[in-house]
Amino acid sequence: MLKRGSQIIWPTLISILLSVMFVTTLAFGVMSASHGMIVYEKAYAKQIALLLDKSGAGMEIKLDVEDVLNLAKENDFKSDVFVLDLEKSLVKVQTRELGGYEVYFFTDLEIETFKIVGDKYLEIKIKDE
Amino acid sequence: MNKKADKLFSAWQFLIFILVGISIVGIVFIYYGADLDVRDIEVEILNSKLSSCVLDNSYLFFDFVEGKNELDIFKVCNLKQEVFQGDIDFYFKLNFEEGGVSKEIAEGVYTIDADCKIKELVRAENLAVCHETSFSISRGLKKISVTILSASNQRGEKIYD
Repeated sequence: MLKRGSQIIWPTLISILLSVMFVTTLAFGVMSASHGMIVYEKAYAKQIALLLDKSGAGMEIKLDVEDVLNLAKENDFKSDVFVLDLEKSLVKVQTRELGGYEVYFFTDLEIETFKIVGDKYLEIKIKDE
Repeated sequence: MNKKADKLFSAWQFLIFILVGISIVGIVFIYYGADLDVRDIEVEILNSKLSSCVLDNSYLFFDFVEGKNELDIFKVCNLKQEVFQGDIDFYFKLNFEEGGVSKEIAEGVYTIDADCKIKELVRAENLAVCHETSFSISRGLKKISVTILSASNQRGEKIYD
């Protein structure tokens, strides 16, 4: 009687355990992919490069970057998240020590301001001619 | 009989699990791993910058076509010379035609010009995205046909350090 009982319980228990493991692994994978840093870095680098390409003298741009700043905080990244290299015409976005994304822009600009304001916005001011 | 049915159910159950898992992982990767291709916007911006530049400085371009002066396209059109003269995948070509005589300004990665010609014939995602516009400028009785081709294959770079 007891032997029969254990014969029924064990396969069911293993099956439930495997199902739980499967769902947990899947949920963890989906969650980490949806918080993908590379997507944020890529999207913001490209967006900023396009904004700079499109902009002209005297323009002021204010971009909401709170989500990517929060991501950098979560990763305990202390350096600048957004870096503008005017010599190379390059925008870099980095939310972690190892990694990041960089995109070139082609417009020759004189940038007056490129800084984070209020832990939420990236403010870009282009010098007036 | 029951034992056999249990085993069968279990095998099917795990097959379904695997299929569902692969589907979900696939969808997530397609959605979040999207290439974020902005090359078409980039080339439109470059094209519109060059078009405005030619229209705003048409007298300079007229003199250039007539051979009266040299033209620094980067300075006149506010473009970063280093970007176009490096190995970054940008390219533009301005073609001016007046009475059968044509003059050209081309800068950037020259192989992209061939990409644009190939793309006119076949669909190729990995080749550069190209954009072409044509218009004319006039001074007095003289009229110059302008064709501007702009192209980009810049996809951005991951930083590894």
